[in-house]
Amino acid sequence: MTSPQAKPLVEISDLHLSYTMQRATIQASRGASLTIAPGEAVGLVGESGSGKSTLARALLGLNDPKSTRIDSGSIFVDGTDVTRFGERDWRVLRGSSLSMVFQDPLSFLNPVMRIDRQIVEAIPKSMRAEGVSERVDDLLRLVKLPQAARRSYPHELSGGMRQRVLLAMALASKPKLLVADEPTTALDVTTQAEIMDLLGELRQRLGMAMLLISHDLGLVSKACERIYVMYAGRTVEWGPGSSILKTPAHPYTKGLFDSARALRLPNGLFATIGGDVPNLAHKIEGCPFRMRCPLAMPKCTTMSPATQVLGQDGHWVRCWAAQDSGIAPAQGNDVKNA
Amino acid sequence: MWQYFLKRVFWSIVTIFVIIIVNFVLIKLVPGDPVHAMIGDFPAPQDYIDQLRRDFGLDQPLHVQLWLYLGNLAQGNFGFSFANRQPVLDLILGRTVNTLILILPAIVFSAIIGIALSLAAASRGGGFDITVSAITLFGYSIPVFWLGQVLVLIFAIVLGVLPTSGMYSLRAPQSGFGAFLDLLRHMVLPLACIMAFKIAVFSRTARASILGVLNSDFVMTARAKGLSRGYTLWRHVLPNAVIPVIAVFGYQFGHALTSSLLVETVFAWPGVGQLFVTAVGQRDFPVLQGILLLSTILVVVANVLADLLYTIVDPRIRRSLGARHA
Repeated sequence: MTSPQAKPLVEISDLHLSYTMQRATIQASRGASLTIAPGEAVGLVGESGSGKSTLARALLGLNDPKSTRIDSGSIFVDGTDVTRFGERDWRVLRGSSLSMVFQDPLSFLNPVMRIDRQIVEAIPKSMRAEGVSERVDDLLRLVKLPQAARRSYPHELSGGMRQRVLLAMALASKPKLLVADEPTTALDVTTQAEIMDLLGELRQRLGMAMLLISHDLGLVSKACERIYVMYAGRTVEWGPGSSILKTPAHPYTKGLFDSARALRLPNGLFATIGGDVPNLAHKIEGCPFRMRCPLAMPKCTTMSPATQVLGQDGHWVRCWAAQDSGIAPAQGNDVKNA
Repeated sequence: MWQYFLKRVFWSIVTIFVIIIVNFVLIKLVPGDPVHAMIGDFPAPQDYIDQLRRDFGLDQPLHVQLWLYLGNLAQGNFGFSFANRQPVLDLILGRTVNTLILILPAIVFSAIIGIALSLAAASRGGGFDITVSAITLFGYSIPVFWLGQVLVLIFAIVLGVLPTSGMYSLRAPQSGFGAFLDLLRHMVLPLACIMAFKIAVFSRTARASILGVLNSDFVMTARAKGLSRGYTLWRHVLPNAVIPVIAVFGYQFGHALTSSLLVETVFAWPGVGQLFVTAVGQRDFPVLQGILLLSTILVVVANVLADLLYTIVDPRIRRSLGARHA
């Protein structure tokens, strides 16, 4: 399904993007690269503040055009460079090829508009010939929402139902790519599983590609074929989910795994990654992870790590310490305590 | 939900009752004797003064006067105007209608224009937004009586296109469409005076509210759906942005009644504001009390209506009321 030769649906190369906020310039992307093949499920993992959401929004042109600037790099969607797109061009693309669902389904729904109206809006003009009401029926069935939800307002639905409404809206245009930005973070665990199952099922059925953004490596590795790990605005490791799961090469990825598994250290504390994500308003020399990295060496302070391939299956990493690619998951990973 | 409104109405009545008492006491505290004001400087015999006091119940202790006043109110008797020698209610009702003719259109049009302006400013941004902000700041700070006189000077005296004051011309038709046109011509300047401030208030409130809504997450959803900016403003931003503006509605009604004191004085508009100013000069206490009571009722009713409007516009409020009182 995902042959590397297939023409990618999305190709982001070495993207540098910054936005201004209260006079500070935040460099949210500092060399992010990512490709998604048609129909492929790709995960994007990283801590809060690593620039995942900004990257996802850049893919749909949803960052505020007044304050956001693409400094260098390119984003190709379906073979077209969208980095110079105006709002009008974006509108066409968003209403057809690209869709997005968001983290907090309540705040992302209009509180004073009924569900059916909000879904109808998302149906492109070209698909309205067959009857709008029937199309809404189909979409509700697709996301397994009862017909009774049609006339509801967002606050009358449960969190899981709201996320299904967002999903129905996103699917209304039959998109080629669905970007899901932490779609289950605001939900409780059982609802989380339901939504993830639904996402997987819909993707299979509709043959669309998906970019799943999450801080939860476990969740992403279950749902996605390939995974990108992002740190401080750059992609630091990517490859097939199985390979990353088995042999994480970047110390940051390993740290994420240990935190996700709630690994207990000999002293009884949970494994965490010490320190914080660097402030993206500042310039960073060398590797951005070196301040928190257990394997940091002098080279890391001065030189940005080169990208290198590990093995045959398209597993890449940006780390000096992973050069020998011989690091086993548990070794050399004396995780600091925060 | 109906239970909520019954409750709301009950508390409104309590509010009105309390204000009646406060007004009564306040007016009694005002220095100056109504009997003296009525007789004037003319030297009257003490017997005559005492008889007048008895006739109007002014010789009774305060609480008895209050009790009498409340009893009369309950029977729809608002008292008798010393100065106008006419029942207060008849006097006030006619004048109140004249004031409402001015105030209601002023508030409704100001709200529509103010919201439209700030919506246009939000969608255009840049220079247009700054211009609108500057104009509203002007309307916000300019004194109404000064604006009124300048308008009269320009439009009535220099250009001569509009009447200087009053509500009707003597030579205009007494009824039908001609009379209506005549009324409109008289309304233009006082309306402009009240609206200059009201438009500013509504557009400033709406602007703040629109800017807040524009940053909401669901506006990003609308963008992600590929909707146009104009449609998003109209269907998503506006319905959410008017909710806080409605809260201003009830309050602005009370404020408009107050500003009618000035506007009606400047334009000799025969409304309740002008009557109030005259009554103060004449120490015509029953009229003052009557006007205060009527304004109180109007303001309270306006606020209840604003609350009702709230529940129509915002389904979340409707639901929380339904849940609590179902």
